[in-house]
Amino acid sequence: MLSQVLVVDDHPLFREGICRLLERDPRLSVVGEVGSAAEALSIARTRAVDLAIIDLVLPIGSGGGVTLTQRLKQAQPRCRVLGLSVHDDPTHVAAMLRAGADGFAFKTQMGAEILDAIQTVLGAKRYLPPAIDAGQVMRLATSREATPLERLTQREREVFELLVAGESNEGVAARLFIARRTVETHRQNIMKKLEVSSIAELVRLSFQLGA
Amino acid sequence: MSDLDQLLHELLTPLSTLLLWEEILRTTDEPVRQAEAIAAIRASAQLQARLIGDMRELDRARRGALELAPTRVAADELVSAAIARRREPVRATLARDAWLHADAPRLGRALDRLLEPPGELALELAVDGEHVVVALRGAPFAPAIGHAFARAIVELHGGTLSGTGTSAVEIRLPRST
Repeated sequence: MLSQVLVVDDHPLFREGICRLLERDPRLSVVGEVGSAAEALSIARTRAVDLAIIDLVLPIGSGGGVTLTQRLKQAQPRCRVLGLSVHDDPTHVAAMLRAGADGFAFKTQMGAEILDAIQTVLGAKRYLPPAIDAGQVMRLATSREATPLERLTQREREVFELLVAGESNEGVAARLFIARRTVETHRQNIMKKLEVSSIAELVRLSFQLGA
Repeated sequence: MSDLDQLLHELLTPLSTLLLWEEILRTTDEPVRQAEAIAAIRASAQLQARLIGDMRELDRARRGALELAPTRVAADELVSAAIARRREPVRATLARDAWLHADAPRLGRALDRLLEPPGELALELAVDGEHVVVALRGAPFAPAIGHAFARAIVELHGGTLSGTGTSAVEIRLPRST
């Protein structure tokens, strides 16, 4: 039976290249190729996905790779996730694993290696690139220390995402049906927990964390 | 992720795309796929060259070594040309009779970078006293090389660019009478 694969990457040329690569493996079928977390979740609401290949850094506004991985796993727990990025920082790889990703590959790896990563993950095994210190990644992924985003409460996370998407305090209040002063309090707490002092820094951090 | 990581991310993205398509080109016999791969490789190389060009100009601007070649320019023509270069449409309101003393090619490139975010964008060109104001609304404008380049070019023209990291960006430039 064909494995249904969803490709999520905001760089169209890279995404198309991955789809061409997938065509070479007769066991795989592309169920969708999209450029944002919102589009990916929209597909996941209507179609069964066996594997999602998710870029760590996605456009600001609808959630990055880490957040998408969490939401996709909630929507479809049996869906396997392979994170993909040009970043080789173990912290980012670990963040994807903590979010529920089953493996991670670098975009600069050979196509054959990326196909191998896909089959490894579909086979219910973990894949990490040979060039990364897997021990360090797993230590970070299983650490009890909270990552910056994990320090936020569920409500703070919702406020965070709306602020990053460009909503004003009034806009956030209207969207979440809460008072503007409550939003301001959440906003102050978020800034403090994430150690930033402006919305611009918050957006930058979101981009960096794949949030 | 540090600033260097951010920079590397932008430079490695077209490079990884180029590597991927190079492998596809090398391992296919289909003419259609070959042509597709060659086009993708070229586009990726051009993007990387553009990023490097922006970084070079940014460096020159920060060192005070970038010399502008200003002429009297109609702001609406400059903005219209940038909108026409964008692949996706822009909802634009353009004031007439807004003049700038500007290096049109460089300021045009700065506008191109600000118009890069995908999705729907709204643009308003207006005159506010002694200033020409370009206000953009749309997807959040991410901090990136192109954005830093745009800011540097605007500031070299004696203007300001505000709103990085939000869904609204405003350029204010001295008006030429």
